[in-house]
Amino acid sequence: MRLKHIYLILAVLIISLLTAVEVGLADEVPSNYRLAAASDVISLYIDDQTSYFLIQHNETKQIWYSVPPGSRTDKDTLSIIYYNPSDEMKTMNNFKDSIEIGMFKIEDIPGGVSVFYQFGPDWVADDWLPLMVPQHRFENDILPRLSDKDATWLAGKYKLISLVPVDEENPRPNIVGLTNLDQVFGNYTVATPGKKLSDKDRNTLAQLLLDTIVGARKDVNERADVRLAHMEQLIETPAYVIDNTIRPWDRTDIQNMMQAINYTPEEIAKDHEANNIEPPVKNVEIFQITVEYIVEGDSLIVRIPMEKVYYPVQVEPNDRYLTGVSGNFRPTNRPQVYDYFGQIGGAKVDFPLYSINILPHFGASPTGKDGYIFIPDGSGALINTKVATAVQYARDMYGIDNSIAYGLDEHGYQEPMDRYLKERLYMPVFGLKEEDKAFMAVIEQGHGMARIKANTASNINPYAKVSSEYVLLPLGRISLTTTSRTVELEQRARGQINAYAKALPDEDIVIRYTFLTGDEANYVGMALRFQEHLVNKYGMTRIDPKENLPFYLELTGAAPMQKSIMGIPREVITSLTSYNQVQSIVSELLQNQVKNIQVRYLGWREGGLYPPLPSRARLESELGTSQEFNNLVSYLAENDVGFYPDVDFLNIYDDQIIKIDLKKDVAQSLNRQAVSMVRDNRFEVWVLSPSKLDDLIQKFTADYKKYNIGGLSLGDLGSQLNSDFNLNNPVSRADALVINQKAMQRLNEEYKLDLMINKANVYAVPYASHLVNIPLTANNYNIISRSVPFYQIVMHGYVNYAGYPLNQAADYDYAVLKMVETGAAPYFSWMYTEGTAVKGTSYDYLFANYYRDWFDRAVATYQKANAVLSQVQGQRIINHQMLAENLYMTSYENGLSVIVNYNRDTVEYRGIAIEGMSFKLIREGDLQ
Amino acid sequence: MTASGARRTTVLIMPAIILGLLILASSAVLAVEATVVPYESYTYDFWKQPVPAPQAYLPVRMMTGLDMGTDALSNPQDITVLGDHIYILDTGKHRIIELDENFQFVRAITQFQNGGVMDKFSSPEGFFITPDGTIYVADTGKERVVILDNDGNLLGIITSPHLEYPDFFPPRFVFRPRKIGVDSIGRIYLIAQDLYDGIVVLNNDGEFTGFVGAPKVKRSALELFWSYLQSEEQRQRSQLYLPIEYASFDVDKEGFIYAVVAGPAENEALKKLNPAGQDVINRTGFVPMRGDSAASFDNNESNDTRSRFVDVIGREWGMVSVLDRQRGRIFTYDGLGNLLYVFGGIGDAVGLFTRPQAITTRGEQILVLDADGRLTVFEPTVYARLIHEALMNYDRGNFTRSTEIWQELTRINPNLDLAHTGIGRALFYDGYYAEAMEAYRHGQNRSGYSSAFAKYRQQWVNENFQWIAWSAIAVILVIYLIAKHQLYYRLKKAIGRKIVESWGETAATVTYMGVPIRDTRTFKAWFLRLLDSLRYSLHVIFHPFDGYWDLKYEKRGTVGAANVLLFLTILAWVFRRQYTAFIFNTIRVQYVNIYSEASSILIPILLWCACNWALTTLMEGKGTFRDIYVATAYAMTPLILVFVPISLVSHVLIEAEGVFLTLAQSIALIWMAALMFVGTMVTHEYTSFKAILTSVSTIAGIAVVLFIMMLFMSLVVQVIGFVYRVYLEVAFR
Repeated sequence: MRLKHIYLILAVLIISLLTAVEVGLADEVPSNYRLAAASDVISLYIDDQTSYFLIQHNETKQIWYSVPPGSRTDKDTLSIIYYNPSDEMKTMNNFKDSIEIGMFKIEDIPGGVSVFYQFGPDWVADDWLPLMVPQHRFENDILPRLSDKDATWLAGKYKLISLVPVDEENPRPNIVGLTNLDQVFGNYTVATPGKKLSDKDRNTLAQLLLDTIVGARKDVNERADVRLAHMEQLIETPAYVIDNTIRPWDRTDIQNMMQAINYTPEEIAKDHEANNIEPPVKNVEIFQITVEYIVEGDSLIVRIPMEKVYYPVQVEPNDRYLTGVSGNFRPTNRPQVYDYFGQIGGAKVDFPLYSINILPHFGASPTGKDGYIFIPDGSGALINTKVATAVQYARDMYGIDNSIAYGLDEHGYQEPMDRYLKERLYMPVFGLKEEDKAFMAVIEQGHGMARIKANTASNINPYAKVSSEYVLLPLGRISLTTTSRTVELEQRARGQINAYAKALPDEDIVIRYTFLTGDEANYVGMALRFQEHLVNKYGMTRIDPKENLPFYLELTGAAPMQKSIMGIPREVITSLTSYNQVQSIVSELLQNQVKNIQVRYLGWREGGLYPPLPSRARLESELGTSQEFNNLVSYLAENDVGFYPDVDFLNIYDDQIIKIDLKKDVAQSLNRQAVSMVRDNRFEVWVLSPSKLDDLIQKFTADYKKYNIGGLSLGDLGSQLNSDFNLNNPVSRADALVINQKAMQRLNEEYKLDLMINKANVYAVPYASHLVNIPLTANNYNIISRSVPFYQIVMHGYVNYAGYPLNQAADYDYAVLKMVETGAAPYFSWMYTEGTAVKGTSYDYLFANYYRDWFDRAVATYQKANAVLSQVQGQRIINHQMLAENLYMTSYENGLSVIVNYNRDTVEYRGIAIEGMSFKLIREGDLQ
Repeated sequence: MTASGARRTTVLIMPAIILGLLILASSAVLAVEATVVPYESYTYDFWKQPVPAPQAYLPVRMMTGLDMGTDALSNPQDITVLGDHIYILDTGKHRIIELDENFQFVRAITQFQNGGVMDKFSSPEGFFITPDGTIYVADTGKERVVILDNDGNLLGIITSPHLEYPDFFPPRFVFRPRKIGVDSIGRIYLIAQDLYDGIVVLNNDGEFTGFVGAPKVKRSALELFWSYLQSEEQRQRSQLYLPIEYASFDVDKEGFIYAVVAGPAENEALKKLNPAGQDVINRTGFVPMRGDSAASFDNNESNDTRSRFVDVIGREWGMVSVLDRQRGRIFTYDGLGNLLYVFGGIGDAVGLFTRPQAITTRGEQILVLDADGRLTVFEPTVYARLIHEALMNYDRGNFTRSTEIWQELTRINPNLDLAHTGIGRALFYDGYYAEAMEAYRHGQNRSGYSSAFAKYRQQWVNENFQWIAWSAIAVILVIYLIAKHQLYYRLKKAIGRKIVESWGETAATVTYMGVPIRDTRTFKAWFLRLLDSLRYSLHVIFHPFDGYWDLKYEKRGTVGAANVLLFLTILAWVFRRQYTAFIFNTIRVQYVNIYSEASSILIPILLWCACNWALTTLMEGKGTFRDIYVATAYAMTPLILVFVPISLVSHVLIEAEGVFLTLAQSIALIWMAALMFVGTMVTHEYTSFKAILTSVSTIAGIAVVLFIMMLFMSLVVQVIGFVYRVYLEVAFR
């Protein structure tokens, strides 16, 4: 007994050890995976049974799965959203709708694999149900292939029917409500060969036959419409007709039986045709997507070639089952397609493919492991994954598309949901860190249409994950409202139709997943990899650092203000900072030892802040003469001050001076109206059609070069991304991105202009020398654990940048600290006029811009920041850490670090005391 | 000159102020990104339009129950502060939570000894803690008020007062106390569910003493008329539903009760009740104290757009903050009812709420409790601190200091009208009247402007008395000379003669100024006739019976002249709208638009003519449409004569003298009405009775026409809408 016990204990020990070992060996590749491709860093394994794959790091043996192994819910690698012709949103995923039913194909391609998925089966379950089978086929081809028991059961579900001439033995059936039987049956009546029928059975059979024909023929609507011609084949060959009183589950059983014996819908179609009823039609609700997985260096490239994406366009909807009258053959999962007049079927229909979510569960991290999701919200943000609190995050890249967000409702613009949330997504990159491994994904192509999604674990689904989704065919809702308010309220609920883009974008989707381990596996590592990627892709070069930190100065020139003279309202252009005043502010700054000044000048053109279409570059006479402007230009050049007059190319005002052509110049929204939007809640501006951009820029620069200014500030070109749904020449958002990039490239190379870009998305940065109004933090979402200066880690050393104007900050001191932490330069937005000049006008938002009020503080702040940041000018940031609560350290490649203390009290860190709300420069070795 | 000098000095003082404030600031940690604030900051201007403002309060911390060191909160309903510690009433978990100064869990009161057995709360919705730490809990679910000492020992239980005083309560009343407050002398106030008579007052012993703040039932004329028609029974029934329900209240240190009314906020949604129950709040701000102004929602004010207050907190220096559930905003008013600042919002970012429920203050912090279990801590920015400091100094009588701060505030936020007014006041007391006027004008403070202007005017008159006296004498002399030699008449006549002679008219079918004109077909003749008939309007208005007769039968009136008169009326009207002095002009002068103004004059006049014509044709009137039009246009003459001079005169008047303007205007209007009446009478040859009848019916007719036009418009709009819809469907399907 004792010994036995010991054995038992030993056995338990061994088993538990084994399991422990197995846990330890979780990084072993499961046997169902085969090696598909490998580089010297990673290997790609694929499971041919499921098309699932995994990536293993060759050195550390760490594994990232395409779907979390063992998860019951997360089993798909692609999911799509599409709309049916009734404007209902539908989803499919490639596990349920493709992998499980074997509708995929794996093919080896150089460096990886390509997987073809068809979403949705060729035939749906109902297609497998024979309604009427000729006797010989039923008895020879179906019944023998079944077991005896099944055969008997099946035979019981069908009735054998033939037509025989009326005689004494076979009298006419008697059907309630059908008076003229002659017309229907001619001189025939129903019978079952070799069986004597009672009157009641005969009546039932006749009804069954008629109902089946009615149910399965489009041209027959009721029993009285049936003619002998519809069933005369029964005279020669009797047929088995399915009993319409059987239960739905019996029907399912029959369908399963047919599938089991492979009595295909093609066979069934032959039977139906032989019996003059409609055959099953192939399912049209299918989508095809091909994904390529290619290993390249330390990255996995996931590519979806757009030309291989199929969605149903102008297909004939299946509606055979919809017209059934007997009540037993009701539609099951078929689309209910109604045309405008409420009729079923008829017109050809589309199933627009709204979006694809690619690898939604890749590398998912189970609850309880340390780590975070990195999302590119604002400057970058982290979401902790350790604790299971279900949060969801989904936002579009690069903010709203004005052509979609505005102008769909004739009552005004649709207010974007997150109007108050200032920061958008500037960078097409996301990642997930789990303990000492991490992956990051850079969207290389198609980021214009991307959307970043993140989920943290919940109790039901214990995985944290992050992925990207792509809106292929944007959707707009057109409300069928009228201008009358009462009617509108009535119709709000129901009166909407969806409008979709007509064609897929030209751009493929390419995502590069890179795998980081060890010290690199964090957001700094991701940022440096992303930097490397940008350098490789765009040839971004290091800046030639100047001795001093730049001082960004934004000045507002003129603004049209509403005046009324004897009741005639007009816009009077009013100067806020004239050309001479710009010069005097700058000279005052220079006198106060502010160096490296970069001036961004708004509202300098004819019309001020409300200028005409920039097809020429005329000066505003209220601001001074052209001589004064030229003097200003040469003064700034002499004093080595950068001068960047600002111009908006994408948001254009309709003006009396240069009329814009709404049909030609302006982008169209999905309701085919010219897109206008309200900017700053005040002015209506039109959205330029992307295809007009090149022409406009050419005209502008031709005129602009006469001023001999080397710089130009872009107000909206680097930050806005609008599509155009014009039917003749549509431009998708992804394509608009390429157009905007090319335009900036031309400004750089062809027109030799040095660019300052406002609120630059990452794709614009390679063309800029200066960035202003870039995000220094993320949005304050509840779900975000903390924001990180990812954008700055990527950009520092490659471009000069500044955050938001310090004088408009909610908390000046905080904003200064943030500026120092992120290595940004000071930035002020000023005007020469006192704030009361704009009080009561449309420009009351410029309330804190009077330069005198800020001058001394600005100079002091600049000197203080310059003392520290000038020493790291042009240096890359190589690390950024949170040392303690509200204590951050940014380290640069030359060994200098800046510690910023946001606490109100002095904090000591490794022997260095940092005062409350201040910062300190430290050198390597200063820390104990 | 000196005023701007004063401003210069404050610029230098300013950094010191800001520095000082930072040192004063509490040592709480700034844990939330303050560069992106998820809500907009604004105030309302004189025209009830939102204008941007600097951020006043920033979210510094957001905590769930887990962050506080306890389990998640479940539907917490109330929050209060005692010393540094925060108490939260966690309704869903029937407990009171105490947090320390760092928002960390100290203890929870879940039960107490009651007559030897342990007793528990049941969904308590409100509580109050007196300065000595006594806790009063409105134990809603158990229909009672529980009084505990700070250690959780039972001090007493108050059950429903309606058992003893059934007459004061509705039948079948169930006592469910929801909010509770206690003043410094121990009176207990509470709000109970389904009780619409105001706030229940109990004395220190828990004895019912009555209600305060019972809303007065106000009735419109129409309602009075209906109630006159109703039976006694109906009248009694209709009285039941009028009273209002309070959402919450706060008892301040001086014993005033700040109370907010539940539901969509009306103008009197926020009350400050004195112990006698009277509403003593000042409502002198530009916008009513009901949260968001209707004007900011396209005037589309409905119950859906109005703010809904859920909680209120009385603050120092007469300030009061209210919490709006509708948009999750906190509105803060000063003691005069001026909106100081707004912050907060609905959403899922830090600083926004999903179901904001209760608000309290801790020092200068504002704490907002969200019923979904979150507590958000807000701290003031420099801007809000300056406002507080200005109010404090004003309250304490340090006017110089408060003025300095107001000056700094106009620099930080020139849109803050209050600050301009504050400066105006200071400049006024210092005798800088012109500068004070300027400041008051920026602050849209018309009465302040007026008093400064009165002084300024007096000063000006004193300084320029000699000059004024001499010019007055000169003017009188000139007038005397003109009158004596009939200069005006002779000049006029000479000019008239000159015109006619120079144009070479000799023979007469028409005369101008007694000079005959022969050829009536030329432009000159037409023009002279026009001039003549225009001139005749001056005769008509003084001799209406005679004049109107001549207009019609002597052909003295022409359509051309009528057109000119109407045009002049429009000009005079626009002139008055645009150029009336600041004190008397409350419209936004830069937006005056002659086209819309013209339609506001022309449409009523043309409607009058049309309806009058339609009626009088039926009532045997002798006038044609042309006659009616001419008569009506001539009746406008007094307006032309009065509007322009009074607009000019308004520039030298102060507010109190505005009555002269009103008087002149009223005279003009009455005069015009009388002329229209006489015009109707003479033109149609009516008796006075018939003329009255016609005038009244014309007005009724106008109403009918307007009604039909509106119906028609709505129909047309619907038809257009329908057609458009069909187009859309066809185009996009």
